[in-house]
Amino acid sequence: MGIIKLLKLGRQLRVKPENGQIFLNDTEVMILPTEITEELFISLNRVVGAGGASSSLYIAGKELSEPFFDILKKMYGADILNSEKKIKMALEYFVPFIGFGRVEIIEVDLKKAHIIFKGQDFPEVGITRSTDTQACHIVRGIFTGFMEILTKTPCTGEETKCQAKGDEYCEFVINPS
Amino acid sequence: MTRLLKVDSKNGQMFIEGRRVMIIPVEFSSALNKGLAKVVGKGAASALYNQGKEIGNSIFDLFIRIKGIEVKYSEDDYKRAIEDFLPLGGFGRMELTELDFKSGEVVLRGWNFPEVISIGHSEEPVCHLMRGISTRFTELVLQRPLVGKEVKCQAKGDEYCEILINSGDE
Repeated sequence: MGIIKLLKLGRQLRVKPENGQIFLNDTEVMILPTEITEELFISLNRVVGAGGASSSLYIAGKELSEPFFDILKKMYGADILNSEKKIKMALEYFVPFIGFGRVEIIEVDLKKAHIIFKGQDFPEVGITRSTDTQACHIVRGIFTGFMEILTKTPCTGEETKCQAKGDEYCEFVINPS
Repeated sequence: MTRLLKVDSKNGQMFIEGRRVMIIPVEFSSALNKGLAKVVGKGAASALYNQGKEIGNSIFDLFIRIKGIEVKYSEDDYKRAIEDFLPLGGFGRMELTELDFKSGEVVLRGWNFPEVISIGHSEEPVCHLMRGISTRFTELVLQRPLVGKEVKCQAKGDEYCEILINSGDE
């Protein structure tokens, strides 16, 4: 277990037990079991089918990009917006830091609003890893939202590989819509 | 609960009592609401309530693991789950106002629920996810199907949120 990372996380998490609130760098957060992402997809699938479930979660992920980005700005400073190198460094540190798995940024070009990244052990990959299609809709939404915030350009994210369907890692490509 | 967090930095994962967890902004519930609203329209509230019931299972399981309690739950276990455990996950503060184990009638009051924080003002109650989670907790303890209804909500300007749980119609 990563003692140093645990200490860093412990320093940045502020708990107000009397109000039932937790803050990470002043952004209010919750601690949730990762399997809820799988449960959300399964129950949404029953109601709106696989297409509706994936697009609901993708939209939810895009909505979440803003509060996540606020945390990133507080951790790395507002000038994170200006440098591809900083974005790469920040995301590769931040995503594991919040328990979302590992990320490696393969390509990032802010002028073209383009990013390719791969990852492992994202929450939506789940325990069973037995779907026929891509599973990481919330993560895809979060990163697409990040690119939209960074570039002020509407973007679309696609998951081209996914561990849930047996690939070695998940891979995402985000481009302008 | 944050003290129980164990971080596996090599794999970007964190665990509480062997169960993998993640940190997510409280806007999660309103984000889900928006995502659902775009797909199912006005049925989003009901869908979100059902989502809350689904995810209530794994949150309750986390409670069981941390507290190490048995499958047969007591009133005291239920009170601890609602009043002591949920706030530790950042779900706001909750108070058990009424509990009748025989009839399955429960009244809960809450403050700072994630949906109130993230949505702000609304004409209608907004805490569908929390309503679902607390209803599932109650179902698991009382071992019967129940329905949760939010009758007061801080987002509407009420002093607190109030959820009635019983065996009646939704």
